[in-house]
Amino acid sequence: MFQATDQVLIERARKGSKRAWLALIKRYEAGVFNHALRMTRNQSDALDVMQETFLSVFRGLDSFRADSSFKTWLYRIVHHRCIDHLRKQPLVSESVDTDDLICSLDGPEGLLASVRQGGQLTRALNELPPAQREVVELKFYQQFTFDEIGLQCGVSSNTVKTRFYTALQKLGQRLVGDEYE
Amino acid sequence: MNKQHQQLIEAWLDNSLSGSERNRFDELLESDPDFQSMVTAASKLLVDAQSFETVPVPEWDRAGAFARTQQSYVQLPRWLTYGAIAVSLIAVSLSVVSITYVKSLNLNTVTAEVVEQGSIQAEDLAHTDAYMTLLSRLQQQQQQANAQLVDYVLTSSRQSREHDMKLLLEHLQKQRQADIEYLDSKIISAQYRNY
Repeated sequence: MFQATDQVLIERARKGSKRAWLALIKRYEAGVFNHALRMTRNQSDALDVMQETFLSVFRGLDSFRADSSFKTWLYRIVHHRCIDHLRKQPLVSESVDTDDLICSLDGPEGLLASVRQGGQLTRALNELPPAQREVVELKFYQQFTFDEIGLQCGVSSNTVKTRFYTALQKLGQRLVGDEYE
Repeated sequence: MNKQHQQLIEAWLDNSLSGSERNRFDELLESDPDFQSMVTAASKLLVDAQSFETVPVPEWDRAGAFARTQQSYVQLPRWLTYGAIAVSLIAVSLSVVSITYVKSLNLNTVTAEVVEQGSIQAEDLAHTDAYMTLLSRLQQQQQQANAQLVDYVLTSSRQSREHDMKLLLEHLQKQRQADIEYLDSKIISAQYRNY
């Protein structure tokens, strides 16, 4: 079945086509929501981030230039909305047991946590600084290249790689440490 | 971290290790605990990402978001747009008629001014053309600036906007200081002249 390209949908949405706009949302909402969920670890916050993102996207459609892909531009906005959201949140104390955190999550967050090997990976990911965690999420779960992640986060691909390998080092140390405990 | 190690892990993630790279990769896995732990972490993440089930998106008001955003675009009724254009045209034609009338009065009294009037009209037309060109350039610049501003607001974080605003304020402060110093020097030199 023929599927309109992003550019065609964007053009139609710019001209006021509600159908094209809804098609564009349908195409990306699952990815945006799941990424926001992994970053915020909370369903209602992820929903807020997703709604704010699509609202910003629609308002900014006229300023979108096709010099980068729509998906890259979209995730650039998601990135900033997530960072803004995380800045508003109070820091979680290190003494909080992340097992309790995982068990207390209901619905999609619980599902998200349960599929990650016994929460071990979740715990290790949660201990990473947001910038490093985001790079790991975008690389492994959204399959973006380092260059694309750099465009989304507004940093060079070298910086992205530095964050990525630092994160891998920390995760590796943490996961190996857990095995010996 | 070792650059070569990064390249090996990158190639491994892309599934593009050559034969010699594969051998080096295996050697490092045996001998380097740091390399081993990073590969272990990456493997777990790969497995997790592959087995990860997408969490379904809860129902939300997609159409409502569209309506809210549409409200921000106030569309003028078509008759109002055409009406505004018509009124503008009438105003312009009235001005032209009045200018022509005034000029024709002058023409009746002084015949010798005919050539001069013609040149004035030509000059007026040239000025109008220049003005219209300038206006259209200004409109284009304004549209570009608006698009840039929207893009900036959408894609920049609050922290970077605060940082940019701080830089702007510092720049304005410096300009203001320079203006004060310039005015001070002017006042002092004027006072000397008065003496």
